[in-house]
Amino acid sequence: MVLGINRRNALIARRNPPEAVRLVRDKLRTKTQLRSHAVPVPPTLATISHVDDARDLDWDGLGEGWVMKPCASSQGRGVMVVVGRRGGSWALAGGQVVGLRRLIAHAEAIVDGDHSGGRPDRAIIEPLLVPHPEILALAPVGLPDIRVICLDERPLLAMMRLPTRTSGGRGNLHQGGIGAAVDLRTGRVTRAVHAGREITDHPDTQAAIVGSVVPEWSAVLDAARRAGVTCGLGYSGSDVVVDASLGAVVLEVNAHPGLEIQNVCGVSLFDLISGMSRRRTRM
Amino acid sequence: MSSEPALAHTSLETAHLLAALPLGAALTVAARTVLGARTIGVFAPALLGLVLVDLGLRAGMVVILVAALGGLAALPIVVRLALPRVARLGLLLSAICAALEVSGLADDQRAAMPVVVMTVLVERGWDVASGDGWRASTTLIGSTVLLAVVIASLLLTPPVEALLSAGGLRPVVVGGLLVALAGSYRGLRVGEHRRFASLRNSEIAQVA
Repeated sequence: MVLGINRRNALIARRNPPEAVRLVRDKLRTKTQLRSHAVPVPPTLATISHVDDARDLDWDGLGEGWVMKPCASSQGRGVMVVVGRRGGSWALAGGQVVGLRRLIAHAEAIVDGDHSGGRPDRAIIEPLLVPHPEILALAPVGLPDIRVICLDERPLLAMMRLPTRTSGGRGNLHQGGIGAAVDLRTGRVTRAVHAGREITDHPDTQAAIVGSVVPEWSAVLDAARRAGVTCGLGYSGSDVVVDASLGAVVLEVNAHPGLEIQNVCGVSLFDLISGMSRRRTRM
Repeated sequence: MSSEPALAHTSLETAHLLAALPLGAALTVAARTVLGARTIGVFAPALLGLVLVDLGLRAGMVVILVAALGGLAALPIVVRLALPRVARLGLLLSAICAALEVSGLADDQRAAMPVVVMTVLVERGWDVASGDGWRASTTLIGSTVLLAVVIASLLLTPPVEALLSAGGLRPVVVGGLLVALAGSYRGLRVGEHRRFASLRNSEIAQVA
Protein backbone atom coordinates (compact mmCIF):
# COMPACT_ATOMS: atom_id res chain seq x y z
CA MET A 1 0.00 0.00 0.00
CA VAL A 2 1.27 3.48 -0.88
CA LEU A 3 1.74 6.12 1.83
CA GLY A 4 -0.61 8.96 0.91
CA ILE A 5 -0.70 12.47 2.37
CA ASN A 6 -3.50 11.69 4.83
CA ARG A 7 -1.75 8.66 6.33
CA ARG A 8 1.58 10.50 6.31
CA ASN A 9 -0.01 13.38 8.23
CA ALA A 10 -1.37 10.91 10.78
CA LEU A 11 2.11 9.40 11.12
CA ILE A 12 3.61 12.86 11.59
CA ALA A 13 0.99 13.74 14.20
CA ARG A 14 2.04 10.61 16.14
CA ARG A 15 5.82 10.77 15.67
CA ASN A 16 6.72 14.46 15.40
CA PRO A 17 6.01 16.55 18.53
CA PRO A 18 4.81 20.12 17.82
CA GLU A 19 7.92 21.67 19.44
CA ALA A 20 10.17 19.63 17.11
CA VAL A 21 8.09 20.69 14.08
CA ARG A 22 8.41 24.33 15.19
CA LEU A 23 12.18 23.89 15.61
CA VAL A 24 12.82 22.58 12.10
CA ARG A 25 10.66 25.30 10.56
CA ASP A 26 13.33 27.71 11.80
CA LYS A 27 16.55 27.06 9.85
CA LEU A 28 18.69 29.05 12.27
CA ARG A 29 17.46 27.21 15.39
CA THR A 30 17.83 23.94 13.52
CA LYS A 31 21.44 24.74 12.67
CA THR A 32 22.21 25.65 16.28
CA GLN A 33 20.63 22.41 17.50
CA LEU A 34 22.47 20.28 14.93
CA ARG A 35 25.80 21.99 15.54
CA SER A 36 25.51 21.48 19.30
CA HIS A 37 25.19 17.74 18.62
CA ALA A 38 28.12 17.69 16.19
CA VAL A 39 25.93 17.14 13.13
CA PRO A 40 27.71 18.93 10.25
CA VAL A 41 26.00 22.07 8.93
CA PRO A 42 27.22 24.91 6.68
CA PRO A 43 28.77 27.87 8.53
CA THR A 44 26.70 31.03 9.04
CA LEU A 45 28.26 34.26 7.76
CA ALA A 46 25.59 36.62 9.06
CA THR A 47 22.01 36.80 10.31
CA ILE A 48 19.62 39.68 9.73
CA SER A 49 16.81 40.06 12.25
CA HIS A 50 15.90 43.72 11.74
CA VAL A 51 15.88 46.17 8.87
CA ASP A 52 18.76 48.03 10.58
CA ASP A 53 20.90 44.87 10.53
CA ALA A 54 20.62 44.81 6.74
CA ARG A 55 21.80 48.41 6.46
CA ASP A 56 24.63 47.95 8.97
CA LEU A 57 25.95 44.69 7.49
CA ASP A 58 29.39 44.70 5.86
CA TRP A 59 28.18 43.25 2.54
CA ASP A 60 31.64 43.62 0.97
CA GLY A 61 33.09 41.43 3.68
CA LEU A 62 30.85 38.45 2.87
CA GLY A 63 33.19 37.22 0.17
CA GLU A 64 32.68 36.17 -3.43
CA GLY A 65 29.91 33.61 -3.27
CA TRP A 66 27.17 33.39 -0.67
CA VAL A 67 23.48 32.59 -0.24
CA MET A 68 20.86 34.68 1.55
CA LYS A 69 17.71 32.80 2.58
CA PRO A 70 14.72 33.20 4.87
CA CYS A 71 14.77 31.26 8.13
CA ALA A 72 11.22 30.02 7.77
CA SER A 73 10.53 29.58 4.08
CA SER A 74 10.16 26.33 2.17
CA GLN A 75 10.69 25.04 -1.38
CA GLY A 76 13.54 27.44 -1.99
CA ARG A 77 11.36 30.55 -1.78
CA GLY A 78 13.20 33.81 -1.18
CA VAL A 79 16.67 32.33 -1.73
CA MET A 80 19.17 34.73 -3.32
CA VAL A 81 22.34 33.12 -4.66
CA VAL A 82 25.34 35.40 -5.19
CA VAL A 83 28.03 33.81 -7.34
CA GLY A 84 30.59 36.61 -7.50
CA ARG A 85 31.40 40.32 -7.66
CA ARG A 86 31.16 42.55 -10.74
CA GLY A 87 32.96 45.75 -9.79
CA GLY A 88 30.94 47.26 -6.95
CA SER A 89 27.94 45.02 -7.67
CA TRP A 90 27.02 41.39 -7.06
CA ALA A 91 26.36 38.74 -9.73
CA LEU A 92 23.41 36.42 -9.03
CA ALA A 93 23.11 32.79 -10.10
CA GLY A 94 20.47 33.69 -12.71
CA GLY A 95 22.89 36.07 -14.46
CA GLN A 96 21.52 39.32 -13.03
CA VAL A 97 23.89 41.90 -11.56
CA VAL A 98 22.50 43.80 -8.58
CA GLY A 99 23.59 46.68 -6.38
CA LEU A 100 23.62 47.15 -2.62
CA ARG A 101 20.09 48.61 -2.59
CA ARG A 102 18.67 45.43 -4.09
CA LEU A 103 20.50 43.25 -1.53
CA ILE A 104 19.15 45.33 1.34
CA ALA A 105 15.64 45.35 -0.17
CA HIS A 106 15.73 41.54 -0.42
CA ALA A 107 16.89 41.24 3.19
CA GLU A 108 14.11 43.62 4.28
CA ALA A 109 11.54 41.62 2.34
CA ILE A 110 12.69 38.46 4.15
CA VAL A 111 12.52 40.18 7.55
CA ASP A 112 9.03 41.48 6.66
CA GLY A 113 7.92 37.89 6.05
CA ASP A 114 7.45 38.16 2.28
CA HIS A 115 8.60 34.57 1.84
CA SER A 116 7.27 33.18 5.12
CA GLY A 117 3.54 33.69 4.79
CA GLY A 118 3.65 37.24 6.15
CA ARG A 119 5.14 36.28 9.51
CA PRO A 120 8.21 38.31 10.55
CA ASP A 121 11.33 36.31 9.75
CA ARG A 122 15.12 36.44 9.80
CA ALA A 123 17.59 36.17 6.93
CA ILE A 124 20.57 33.82 7.10
CA ILE A 125 23.64 34.30 4.97
CA GLU A 126 25.80 31.24 4.30
CA PRO A 127 28.79 30.68 2.04
CA LEU A 128 27.93 29.32 -1.39
CA LEU A 129 28.29 25.55 -1.30
CA VAL A 130 30.13 23.92 -4.20
CA PRO A 131 29.09 20.36 -5.01
CA HIS A 132 31.65 17.56 -4.77
CA PRO A 133 33.38 17.16 -8.21
CA GLU A 134 31.75 13.74 -8.77
CA ILE A 135 28.29 15.27 -8.29
CA LEU A 136 29.23 18.36 -10.28
CA ALA A 137 30.04 16.06 -13.20
CA LEU A 138 26.45 14.78 -13.12
CA ALA A 139 24.68 18.14 -12.84
CA PRO A 140 26.64 21.30 -13.55
CA VAL A 141 23.79 23.67 -12.60
CA GLY A 142 22.34 24.40 -9.15
CA LEU A 143 23.05 22.52 -5.95
CA PRO A 144 22.18 18.81 -5.96
CA ASP A 145 21.27 17.33 -2.60
CA ILE A 146 20.36 13.98 -1.10
CA ARG A 147 16.99 13.58 0.65
CA VAL A 148 16.99 10.80 3.23
CA ILE A 149 13.75 9.73 4.91
CA CYS A 150 14.28 8.31 8.41
CA LEU A 151 12.06 6.72 11.01
CA ASP A 152 13.86 7.60 14.24
CA GLU A 153 17.51 6.85 13.39
CA ARG A 154 16.70 4.30 10.72
CA PRO A 155 17.00 5.45 7.09
CA LEU A 156 14.08 4.21 4.98
CA LEU A 157 14.63 5.69 1.53
CA ALA A 158 17.11 8.05 -0.12
CA MET A 159 17.15 9.97 -3.36
CA MET A 160 19.54 12.42 -4.94
CA ARG A 161 17.86 15.50 -6.42
CA LEU A 162 19.66 16.86 -9.46
CA PRO A 163 18.74 20.25 -10.91
CA THR A 164 18.35 20.71 -14.64
CA ARG A 165 18.30 23.75 -16.91
CA THR A 166 14.50 23.54 -17.08
CA SER A 167 14.25 23.46 -13.28
CA GLY A 168 16.10 26.79 -13.14
CA GLY A 169 18.86 25.24 -11.05
CA ARG A 170 16.44 23.91 -8.43
CA GLY A 171 16.36 20.30 -7.36
CA ASN A 172 12.61 20.25 -6.62
CA LEU A 173 11.06 17.43 -8.63
CA HIS A 174 7.82 19.28 -9.40
CA GLN A 175 9.85 22.11 -10.90
CA GLY A 176 11.73 19.87 -13.32
CA GLY A 177 14.51 18.42 -11.16
CA ILE A 178 15.64 14.79 -11.45
CA GLY A 179 15.00 12.30 -8.66
CA ALA A 180 17.61 9.52 -8.44
CA ALA A 181 16.97 6.58 -6.11
CA VAL A 182 20.01 5.76 -3.98
CA ASP A 183 20.67 2.29 -2.57
CA LEU A 184 21.01 2.74 1.19
CA ARG A 185 23.72 0.09 1.56
CA THR A 186 26.08 1.15 -1.24
CA GLY A 187 25.14 4.74 -2.13
CA ARG A 188 24.75 3.68 -5.76
CA VAL A 189 22.01 5.25 -7.90
CA THR A 190 19.69 2.47 -9.01
CA ARG A 191 16.96 4.40 -10.83
CA ALA A 192 16.28 7.96 -12.00
CA VAL A 193 13.05 9.78 -12.81
CA HIS A 194 12.60 13.07 -14.65
CA ALA A 195 9.19 14.64 -15.36
CA GLY A 196 7.48 11.33 -14.52
CA ARG A 197 9.63 9.28 -16.93
CA GLU A 198 12.39 6.86 -16.07
CA ILE A 199 15.79 7.99 -17.40
CA THR A 200 19.37 6.79 -17.14
CA ASP A 201 21.36 9.92 -18.13
CA HIS A 202 21.12 13.61 -17.26
CA PRO A 203 19.11 15.32 -20.06
CA ASP A 204 21.45 18.36 -20.12
CA THR A 205 24.86 16.70 -19.88
CA GLN A 206 24.15 13.07 -20.91
CA ALA A 207 26.21 12.04 -17.89
CA ALA A 208 25.21 8.59 -16.64
CA ILE A 209 23.17 9.00 -13.46
CA VAL A 210 22.12 5.40 -12.95
CA GLY A 211 25.12 3.46 -11.71
CA SER A 212 26.90 6.49 -10.26
CA VAL A 213 27.78 6.46 -6.57
CA VAL A 214 27.13 9.30 -4.12
CA PRO A 215 30.54 10.38 -2.78
CA GLU A 216 31.10 10.17 1.00
CA TRP A 217 27.95 8.05 1.25
CA SER A 218 28.52 6.80 4.79
CA ALA A 219 28.98 10.40 6.00
CA VAL A 220 25.77 11.44 4.18
CA LEU A 221 23.79 8.63 5.77
CA ASP A 222 25.28 9.24 9.21
CA ALA A 223 24.47 12.98 9.06
CA ALA A 224 20.91 12.30 7.90
CA ARG A 225 20.15 9.61 10.48
CA ARG A 226 21.36 11.86 13.31
CA ALA A 227 19.75 15.07 12.06
CA GLY A 228 16.10 14.05 12.50
CA VAL A 229 16.40 12.62 16.01
CA THR A 230 18.65 15.47 17.14
CA CYS A 231 15.78 17.81 16.29
CA GLY A 232 13.28 15.57 18.10
CA LEU A 233 11.58 14.18 15.00
CA GLY A 234 10.46 10.55 14.82
CA TYR A 235 9.74 10.80 11.08
CA SER A 236 12.00 13.11 9.13
CA GLY A 237 13.40 14.00 5.73
CA SER A 238 16.92 15.42 5.89
CA ASP A 239 18.52 17.22 2.96
CA VAL A 240 22.26 16.64 2.80
CA VAL A 241 24.72 18.31 0.43
CA VAL A 242 28.18 16.92 -0.31
CA ASP A 243 30.31 20.07 -0.52
CA ALA A 244 33.68 19.98 -2.27
CA SER A 245 35.55 21.22 0.80
CA LEU A 246 33.15 20.76 3.76
CA GLY A 247 32.03 17.23 2.89
CA ALA A 248 28.53 16.10 3.89
CA VAL A 249 26.51 18.91 5.53
CA VAL A 250 22.84 18.98 6.52
CA LEU A 251 21.10 21.80 4.72
CA GLU A 252 17.59 21.29 6.04
CA VAL A 253 15.50 18.92 8.17
CA ASN A 254 11.85 18.46 7.18
CA ALA A 255 9.06 17.39 9.49
CA HIS A 256 6.68 16.93 6.53
CA PRO A 257 8.83 15.37 3.81
CA GLY A 258 7.15 14.89 0.44
CA LEU A 259 5.98 11.54 -0.86
CA GLU A 260 7.35 11.64 -4.41
CA ILE A 261 10.40 9.72 -3.21
CA GLN A 262 8.19 6.59 -3.37
CA ASN A 263 7.74 7.05 -7.13
CA VAL A 264 11.45 7.75 -7.59
CA CYS A 265 12.57 4.68 -5.61
CA GLY A 266 9.66 2.49 -6.69
CA VAL A 267 9.11 1.53 -3.06
CA SER A 268 6.19 2.19 -0.72
CA LEU A 269 7.04 3.95 2.54
CA PHE A 270 3.90 2.49 4.08
CA ASP A 271 5.16 -1.06 3.43
CA LEU A 272 8.60 -0.23 4.81
CA ILE A 273 7.17 1.28 8.00
CA SER A 274 4.60 -1.50 8.53
CA GLY A 275 7.34 -4.09 7.95
CA MET A 276 9.46 -2.45 10.66
CA SER A 277 6.51 -2.35 13.08
CA ARG A 278 5.78 -6.04 12.46
CA ARG A 279 9.42 -7.00 13.04
CA ARG A 280 9.45 -4.93 16.25
CA THR A 281 6.26 -6.65 17.48
CA ARG A 282 7.75 -10.09 16.76
CA MET A 283 10.84 -9.15 18.74
CA MET B 1 -34.91 58.55 -5.99
CA SER B 2 -32.59 55.93 -4.45
CA SER B 3 -30.75 53.64 -6.82
CA GLU B 4 -31.65 49.95 -6.84
CA PRO B 5 -28.95 47.64 -5.48
CA ALA B 6 -27.20 45.88 -8.36
CA LEU B 7 -27.15 42.57 -6.50
CA ALA B 8 -30.04 40.22 -5.89
CA HIS B 9 -31.12 38.68 -2.58
CA THR B 10 -31.14 34.92 -2.16
CA SER B 11 -33.42 32.78 -0.04
CA LEU B 12 -30.83 32.18 2.70
CA GLU B 13 -31.05 34.97 5.24
CA THR B 14 -27.86 36.78 6.19
CA ALA B 15 -28.51 35.83 9.83
CA HIS B 16 -27.95 32.18 8.92
CA LEU B 17 -24.60 32.72 7.21
CA LEU B 18 -22.67 32.25 10.46
CA ALA B 19 -24.24 28.84 10.94
CA ALA B 20 -23.32 27.97 7.35
CA LEU B 21 -19.61 28.59 7.96
CA PRO B 22 -18.86 25.24 9.72
CA LEU B 23 -20.68 23.42 6.91
CA GLY B 24 -18.58 25.31 4.36
CA ALA B 25 -15.48 24.41 6.38
CA ALA B 26 -16.52 20.73 6.39
CA LEU B 27 -16.83 20.77 2.61
CA THR B 28 -13.39 22.40 2.31
CA VAL B 29 -11.86 19.75 4.58
CA ALA B 30 -13.54 16.96 2.57
CA ALA B 31 -12.36 18.48 -0.71
CA ARG B 32 -8.81 18.51 0.61
CA THR B 33 -8.60 15.16 2.39
CA VAL B 34 -10.75 13.06 0.07
CA LEU B 35 -10.38 14.72 -3.33
CA GLY B 36 -6.96 16.26 -2.72
CA ALA B 37 -8.12 19.67 -3.99
CA ARG B 38 -5.40 22.30 -3.57
CA THR B 39 -6.80 25.69 -2.66
CA ILE B 40 -5.49 29.03 -1.53
CA GLY B 41 -6.07 29.54 2.17
CA VAL B 42 -7.65 26.87 4.31
CA PHE B 43 -11.05 28.53 4.50
CA ALA B 44 -10.97 30.93 1.56
CA PRO B 45 -13.29 28.62 -0.45
CA ALA B 46 -15.77 28.50 2.45
CA LEU B 47 -15.74 32.29 2.82
CA LEU B 48 -16.14 32.83 -0.93
CA GLY B 49 -18.89 30.20 -0.90
CA LEU B 50 -20.79 32.26 1.67
CA VAL B 51 -20.32 35.34 -0.51
CA LEU B 52 -21.91 33.44 -3.39
CA VAL B 53 -24.75 32.29 -1.14
CA ASP B 54 -25.38 35.81 0.09
CA LEU B 55 -25.18 37.52 -3.30
CA GLY B 56 -26.53 34.71 -5.43
CA LEU B 57 -24.34 32.56 -7.65
CA ARG B 58 -24.45 34.76 -10.75
CA ALA B 59 -24.09 38.15 -9.04
CA GLY B 60 -21.52 36.70 -6.65
CA MET B 61 -19.40 35.39 -9.51
CA VAL B 62 -19.55 38.84 -11.16
CA VAL B 63 -18.27 40.45 -7.94
CA ILE B 64 -15.50 37.84 -7.60
CA LEU B 65 -14.50 38.23 -11.25
CA VAL B 66 -14.44 42.05 -11.10
CA ALA B 67 -12.44 41.91 -7.85
CA ALA B 68 -9.95 39.44 -9.37
CA LEU B 69 -9.54 41.54 -12.52
CA GLY B 70 -9.08 44.71 -10.44
CA GLY B 71 -6.37 43.03 -8.36
CA LEU B 72 -4.64 41.45 -11.36
CA ALA B 73 -4.68 44.75 -13.29
CA ALA B 74 -2.92 46.50 -10.41
CA LEU B 75 -0.45 43.65 -9.82
CA PRO B 76 2.29 44.74 -12.31
CA ILE B 77 2.46 48.21 -10.75
CA VAL B 78 2.31 46.86 -7.19
CA VAL B 79 5.11 44.37 -7.90
CA ARG B 80 7.27 47.02 -9.59
CA LEU B 81 7.01 49.25 -6.51
CA ALA B 82 8.78 46.51 -4.48
CA LEU B 83 6.85 47.38 -1.32
CA PRO B 84 6.71 45.39 1.91
CA ARG B 85 4.00 42.72 1.95
CA VAL B 86 1.59 44.68 4.12
CA ALA B 87 1.74 47.68 1.79
CA ARG B 88 1.42 45.41 -1.24
CA LEU B 89 -1.73 43.89 0.23
CA GLY B 90 -3.08 47.36 1.03
CA LEU B 91 -2.56 48.55 -2.55
CA LEU B 92 -4.18 45.43 -4.00
CA LEU B 93 -7.13 45.90 -1.66
CA SER B 94 -7.46 49.51 -2.84
CA ALA B 95 -7.37 48.40 -6.48
CA ILE B 96 -10.08 45.80 -5.85
CA CYS B 97 -12.29 48.38 -4.11
CA ALA B 98 -11.74 50.77 -7.03
CA ALA B 99 -12.72 48.07 -9.54
CA LEU B 100 -15.95 47.34 -7.62
CA GLU B 101 -16.69 51.07 -7.37
CA VAL B 102 -16.08 51.74 -11.08
CA SER B 103 -18.21 48.76 -12.10
CA GLY B 104 -21.14 50.05 -10.02
CA LEU B 105 -21.15 47.00 -7.77
CA ALA B 106 -20.16 48.92 -4.66
CA ASP B 107 -23.73 50.33 -4.34
CA ASP B 108 -24.57 47.17 -2.43
CA GLN B 109 -22.54 46.94 0.77
CA ARG B 110 -22.51 43.14 0.52
CA ALA B 111 -20.04 43.52 -2.36
CA ALA B 112 -17.47 44.43 0.33
CA MET B 113 -17.63 40.89 1.76
CA PRO B 114 -15.16 39.21 -0.61
CA VAL B 115 -12.70 42.12 -0.82
CA VAL B 116 -10.25 40.87 1.83
CA VAL B 117 -10.40 37.24 0.67
CA MET B 118 -9.88 38.29 -2.96
CA THR B 119 -6.94 40.50 -1.98
CA VAL B 120 -5.22 37.56 -0.31
CA LEU B 121 -6.18 35.32 -3.24
CA VAL B 122 -4.59 37.61 -5.84
CA GLU B 123 -1.46 38.19 -3.74
CA ARG B 124 -1.01 34.50 -3.00
CA GLY B 125 -1.65 33.72 -6.67
CA TRP B 126 1.16 36.07 -7.64
CA ASP B 127 3.41 34.46 -5.02
CA VAL B 128 2.74 30.99 -6.44
CA ALA B 129 3.19 32.27 -10.01
CA SER B 130 6.60 33.73 -9.18
CA GLY B 131 7.73 30.38 -7.79
CA ASP B 132 5.91 27.78 -9.87
CA GLY B 133 4.61 29.71 -12.89
CA TRP B 134 1.27 31.18 -13.91
CA ARG B 135 -0.19 27.81 -14.87
CA ALA B 136 0.17 26.50 -11.32
CA SER B 137 -1.18 29.77 -9.97
CA THR B 138 -4.22 29.81 -12.28
CA THR B 139 -5.00 26.21 -11.36
CA LEU B 140 -4.81 27.07 -7.66
CA ILE B 141 -7.02 30.16 -7.95
CA GLY B 142 -9.41 28.30 -10.27
CA SER B 143 -9.80 25.38 -7.89
CA THR B 144 -10.37 27.78 -4.98
CA VAL B 145 -13.20 29.57 -6.82
CA LEU B 146 -14.61 26.30 -8.18
CA LEU B 147 -14.76 24.85 -4.68
CA ALA B 148 -16.49 28.03 -3.51
CA VAL B 149 -19.14 27.51 -6.22
CA VAL B 150 -19.60 23.87 -5.15
CA ILE B 151 -19.92 24.92 -1.49
CA ALA B 152 -22.48 27.62 -2.37
CA SER B 153 -24.46 25.21 -4.55
CA LEU B 154 -24.58 22.65 -1.74
CA LEU B 155 -25.51 25.24 0.88
CA LEU B 156 -28.42 26.31 -1.31
CA THR B 157 -29.89 22.80 -1.63
CA PRO B 158 -33.27 22.47 0.14
CA PRO B 159 -32.12 20.06 2.93
CA VAL B 160 -29.14 22.23 3.87
CA GLU B 161 -31.21 25.39 3.65
CA ALA B 162 -33.77 23.80 5.94
CA LEU B 163 -31.05 22.83 8.41
CA LEU B 164 -29.63 26.36 8.39
CA SER B 165 -33.03 28.05 8.59
CA ALA B 166 -33.90 25.98 11.67
CA GLY B 167 -31.22 28.05 13.43
CA GLY B 168 -29.79 27.21 16.84
CA LEU B 169 -26.74 25.07 17.40
CA ARG B 170 -27.82 22.17 15.19
CA PRO B 171 -26.15 23.31 11.90
CA VAL B 172 -22.98 24.25 13.77
CA VAL B 173 -22.81 20.83 15.50
CA VAL B 174 -23.52 19.03 12.21
CA GLY B 175 -20.78 21.09 10.53
CA GLY B 176 -18.33 20.31 13.35
CA LEU B 177 -19.08 16.57 13.17
CA LEU B 178 -18.61 16.57 9.39
CA VAL B 179 -15.26 18.37 9.80
CA ALA B 180 -14.12 15.68 12.28
CA LEU B 181 -15.35 12.91 9.96
CA ALA B 182 -13.69 14.30 6.83
CA GLY B 183 -10.53 15.10 8.80
CA SER B 184 -10.12 11.52 9.98
CA TYR B 185 -10.11 10.03 6.47
CA ARG B 186 -6.79 8.21 6.04
CA GLY B 187 -7.10 6.71 2.56
CA LEU B 188 -5.47 7.94 -0.64
CA ARG B 189 -6.80 11.20 -2.04
CA VAL B 190 -8.43 10.96 -5.46
CA GLY B 191 -5.49 12.72 -7.13
CA GLU B 192 -3.04 10.35 -5.47
CA HIS B 193 -4.51 7.30 -7.20
CA ARG B 194 -3.12 8.67 -10.48
CA ARG B 195 0.04 10.09 -8.89
CA PHE B 196 1.07 6.70 -7.51
CA ALA B 197 -0.48 4.60 -10.29
CA SER B 198 2.78 2.98 -11.45
CA LEU B 199 3.80 2.13 -7.89
CA ARG B 200 0.38 0.66 -7.11
CA ASN B 201 0.37 -1.32 -10.36
CA SER B 202 3.77 -2.81 -9.59
CA GLU B 203 2.54 -3.77 -6.09
CA ILE B 204 -0.54 -5.43 -7.60
CA ALA B 205 1.68 -7.29 -10.09
CA GLN B 206 3.91 -8.52 -7.23
CA VAL B 207 0.91 -9.81 -5.28
CA ALA B 208 -0.43 -11.56 -8.42
